[in-house]
Amino acid sequence: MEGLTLRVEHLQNENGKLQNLFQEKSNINEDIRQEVSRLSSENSVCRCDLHLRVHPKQTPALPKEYLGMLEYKREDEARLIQNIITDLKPKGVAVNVIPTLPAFILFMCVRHADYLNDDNKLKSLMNGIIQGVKKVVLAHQKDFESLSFWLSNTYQLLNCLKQYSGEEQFLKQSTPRQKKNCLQNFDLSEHRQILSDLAIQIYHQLISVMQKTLTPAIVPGMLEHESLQGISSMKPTGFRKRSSSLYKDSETYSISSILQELSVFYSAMSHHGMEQSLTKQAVKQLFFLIGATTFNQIMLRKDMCSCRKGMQIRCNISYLEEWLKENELQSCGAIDTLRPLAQAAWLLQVNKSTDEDAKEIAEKCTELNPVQIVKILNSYTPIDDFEKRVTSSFVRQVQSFLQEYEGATQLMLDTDYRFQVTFPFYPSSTALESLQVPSSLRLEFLTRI
Amino acid sequence: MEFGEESSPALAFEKNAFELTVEDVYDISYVIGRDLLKISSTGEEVSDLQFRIVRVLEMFETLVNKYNLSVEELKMERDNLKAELDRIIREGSSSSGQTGVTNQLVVDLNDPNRPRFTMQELKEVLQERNQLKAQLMVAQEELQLYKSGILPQSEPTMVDVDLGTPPATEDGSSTVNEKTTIGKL
Repeated sequence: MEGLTLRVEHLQNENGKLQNLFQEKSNINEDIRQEVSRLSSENSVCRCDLHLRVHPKQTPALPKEYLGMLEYKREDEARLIQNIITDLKPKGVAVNVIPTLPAFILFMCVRHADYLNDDNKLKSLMNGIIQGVKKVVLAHQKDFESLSFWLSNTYQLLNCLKQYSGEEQFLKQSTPRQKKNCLQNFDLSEHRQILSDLAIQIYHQLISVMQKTLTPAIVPGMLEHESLQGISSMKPTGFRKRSSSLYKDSETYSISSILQELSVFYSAMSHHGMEQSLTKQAVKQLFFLIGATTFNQIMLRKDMCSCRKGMQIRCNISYLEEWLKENELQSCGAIDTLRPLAQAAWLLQVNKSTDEDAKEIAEKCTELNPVQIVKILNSYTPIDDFEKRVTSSFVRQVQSFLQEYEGATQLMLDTDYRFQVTFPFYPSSTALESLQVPSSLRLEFLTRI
Repeated sequence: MEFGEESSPALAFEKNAFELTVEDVYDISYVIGRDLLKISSTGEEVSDLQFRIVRVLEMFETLVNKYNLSVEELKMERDNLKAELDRIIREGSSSSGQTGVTNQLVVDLNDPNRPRFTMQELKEVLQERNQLKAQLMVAQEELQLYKSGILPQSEPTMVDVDLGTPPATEDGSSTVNEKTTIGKL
């Protein structure tokens, strides 16, 4: 009995010690937070005052000048690839603070191999990187977080390779120091091309995964869910928690579910430091999917062709627009992809009896072809007995105004259509000399040069 | 939930230190990283600070992880020890009802019907009773004889029935009398 009591006591003591240690560390954290806010307020102070705050211990001699490279032994290459690519988790202390750090670390290794003028080492490294990224993407091809993380880092690496390539077009925004850091001996434009293709692959895989998650919510959320009874109470929420599970607990999907999922995607891409231009392209693609899927349903289902549904759709489109504004994504062209849907919804709501109406329809529905317009008119179901169906003479009237139409005549939109993705060059202001390698990345075999 | 509600990563800052999980440390890392980006324009000035923060957060992650694991381990140990303790207590209480040495009798001292006398005492009392009973029978017989007039009342022969020793004086007559008396019955 006595032994047991002793043991419990001992464990309690250990527990107490750990708690104390813990408290200490979180105090340090608090200090750091205060330091950060102090720094940010100090930053607004005139720079010439800064030297007055220099710690008296600081000697006039400069700290060690780093060149912004990372040295590694040839035999450590496999370990490097494994620790910084294959086994790296998209969530961790180092990558949460600096999401594109892996890309920079890899580039600093590339720089050193170039600096050594060792073309075997360099080639081997570049191939190792490309294979490594391919492997990790394949292993996680259904995992949105991993795909987003590696898309962001691959894009960053691509940008580094361009920025430090020495090519004129990429030097415009570089600092003098950055210009000095350019690759000296080798031209990696071929590898850049391969990397670019890889990035495109990852992007499309990412889009597929996002589409798969989003699709079940689109028709229920955009068309079926009736939220207009009490607009204020049903105002959709914006940002929710970062889980990727859709809002399924009580009712079926609503427009809120769609917005919530979009927010999850958007915030994850931001967390991974993805360049805004790429994020915007992804959002635009998703909006296209939402619009096209919803539109095709209207083409197929008569019960969706009512004035009331038209109103519902326009309401949902406005929510989507609001979401874009909240996240400062108005300029990504996403809302334009919804135009066919918006016009179809307008067509459902507008009067469809007089000649003037027919003319207006022909003029306004620029995104719809005559086949689609006629289909909607013919499918139109009045909501009550007062409303009349659209007469066939009216339809003929509209068609007469559309005689000169010379575009495509497909009824349905192609939901699989993908806009071409581009990776515009974005230089980074990061100074390679100032980068360090956090120990949690387990890259102790790298030497900071 | 309304618009503009604080996003969940920042909520980790509000938590009690001892309830933090490793996920919270990651959320904290993300928020701090974002804040650092805001104050650095060229990315140079705050780089040292940035990496020091990363270092502290790494240590923090290790501690939180270790702490949570230790708490779990301690809880399990404590539960195991408790279970063992309970078991031992239960066993201890059930063993006190058994006889330590066989062939012994447990007597409740408050019982009025508890055995109090030895076998020897019992034997002696029973013998005495038997003797007295026999004497009583003889005396009752004699009484009957006197009542029925068989025996003269003037000379009550005191026959001392002593089955133990024969009378010392007047052997013959008393013995005859004795015999006669008994014979006549």
